[in-house]
Amino acid sequence: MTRLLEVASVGKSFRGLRALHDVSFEVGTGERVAVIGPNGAGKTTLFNLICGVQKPDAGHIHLRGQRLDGLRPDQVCARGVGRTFQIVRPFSGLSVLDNVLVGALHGERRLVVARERARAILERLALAEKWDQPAQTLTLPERKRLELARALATRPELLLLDEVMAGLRPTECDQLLAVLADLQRSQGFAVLLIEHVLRAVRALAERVVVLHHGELIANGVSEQVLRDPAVVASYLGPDALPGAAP
Amino acid sequence: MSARQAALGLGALALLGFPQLAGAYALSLATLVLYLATTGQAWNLMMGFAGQLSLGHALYVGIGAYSAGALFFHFGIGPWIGVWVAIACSLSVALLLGGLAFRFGISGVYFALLTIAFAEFTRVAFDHSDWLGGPGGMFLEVGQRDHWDLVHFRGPPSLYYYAALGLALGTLGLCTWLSRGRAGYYWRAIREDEAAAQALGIDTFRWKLLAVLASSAISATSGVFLAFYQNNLFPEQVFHISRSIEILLGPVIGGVGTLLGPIFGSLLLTLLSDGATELLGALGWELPGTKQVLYGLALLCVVVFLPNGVWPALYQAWGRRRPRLPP
Repeated sequence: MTRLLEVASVGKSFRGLRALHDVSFEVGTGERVAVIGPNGAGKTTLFNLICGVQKPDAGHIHLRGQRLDGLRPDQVCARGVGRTFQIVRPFSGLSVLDNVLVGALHGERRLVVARERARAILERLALAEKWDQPAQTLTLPERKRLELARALATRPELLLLDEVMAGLRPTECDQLLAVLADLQRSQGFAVLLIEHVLRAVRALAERVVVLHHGELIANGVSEQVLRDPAVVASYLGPDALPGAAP
Repeated sequence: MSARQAALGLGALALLGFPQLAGAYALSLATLVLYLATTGQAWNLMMGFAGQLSLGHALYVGIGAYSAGALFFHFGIGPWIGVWVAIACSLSVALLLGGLAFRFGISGVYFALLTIAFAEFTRVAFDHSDWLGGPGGMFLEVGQRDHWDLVHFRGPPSLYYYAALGLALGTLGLCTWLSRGRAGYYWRAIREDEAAAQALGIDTFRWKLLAVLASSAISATSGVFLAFYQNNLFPEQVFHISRSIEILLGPVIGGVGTLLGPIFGSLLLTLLSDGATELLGALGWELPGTKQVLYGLALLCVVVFLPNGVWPALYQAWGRRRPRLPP
């Protein structure tokens, strides 16, 4: 597996509050990695640094050896990084198809071709029926899928998923997981996901990175990391020890 | 021939034959509607599509009007060359305003305030320019009013009607083309959620600036029309905020972000205000300010009852049961 994303000694502070400190890890081509940690651990900050929403105070981020930090979000997207937002942000006043089309137009000159690709993606995510409806009429699970469809339409090599499972019922969650795993297998993009729903982490991620108070406290194969006492403690508090993974 | 084609054909005939059928007053009203439809369309390109609120759009119209007007006044250069100079001047101002605002991340209300400020600065500056006539105004020589003189853009009212019609249709065509292409999709994405748009690879700075530039160019062109139609330009009138508001009322009432909204809106507003003024005049009542009150009432009704504007409401009423977005 070749190295795709490299996060090297990255740090970020907000007015003295240390959000991230000396965080380093890698994501290989086509690899599926989860970032977990309690609220305030710095997960979303990490995503924002990778996506170019914020700049790191220290360290570097590279994609395929090219520097990513310091670029704008649209430039990061152009390098092959797609993302979803923790709180879904559909283009409410646009139709479902047009939402995905905006993503599909990225790197595609012909509108017709982009529209076909957008349709195909909607088909995969079971949204094809609603293509001409305004996005604001969708239910939450549909919006989550739309968010995913839009990000996938940009043909990312690395897909960043910020809590796509949050707010979904277990059955909806399993459906989305199946679709995601299927898409990932067929298209081969790498996935970096922030997730609190551990069934999603177990189902999707090969490797888990754990953040706690802005520092990386574990990085390894999912099942091992999720059983690590320090990880369990950071998540559930020291009282939960000795215990199984939540 | 389908019903749609027949309706379009009839509409085209009516528009083309209008000067032959209508009196001088109706013709001047129609010209005004078409002029407002054009400037409204330009404003709508920026606000309705790209989500950038301009409250000083009279700036671009005025720059266009004064550029071509001054060329004609001082050097006798006609509007066919003047319009390009007008567009160039307007684009420069738009580039300065948009470039500054978007580079420094000024958006929303603050951007709107900046557009007012630019229009006001310009008004004051023009007021102090003797070369442009200052507060006393600039008067273009009217020449003849009998036959069509296309070279100097001089002639009877029907000439200006057809020019305004051409401008309105041309602008509608341009905006339709833009809205159905990449620009349209990118602008609407930026309007709905700028951060999400950026995350999809859209260079928001570039596309927002493009919207301002396109809008200013169209506005400047209608400004050139205004200069040669009115033949007099006063900074106090041309750049006044009430002019900017007049520009945006049409699309707001017709339907922001739609292609036909600005046209419906300017038609409704003009008929309403001038119709009421006529009616009051016929009744022998002199009530200054009626127009403004009616504008206010129309706006109030739309905001309360048809928040998306008149045209989308009509579209839904005529159209399908499933919620769909009007063109």
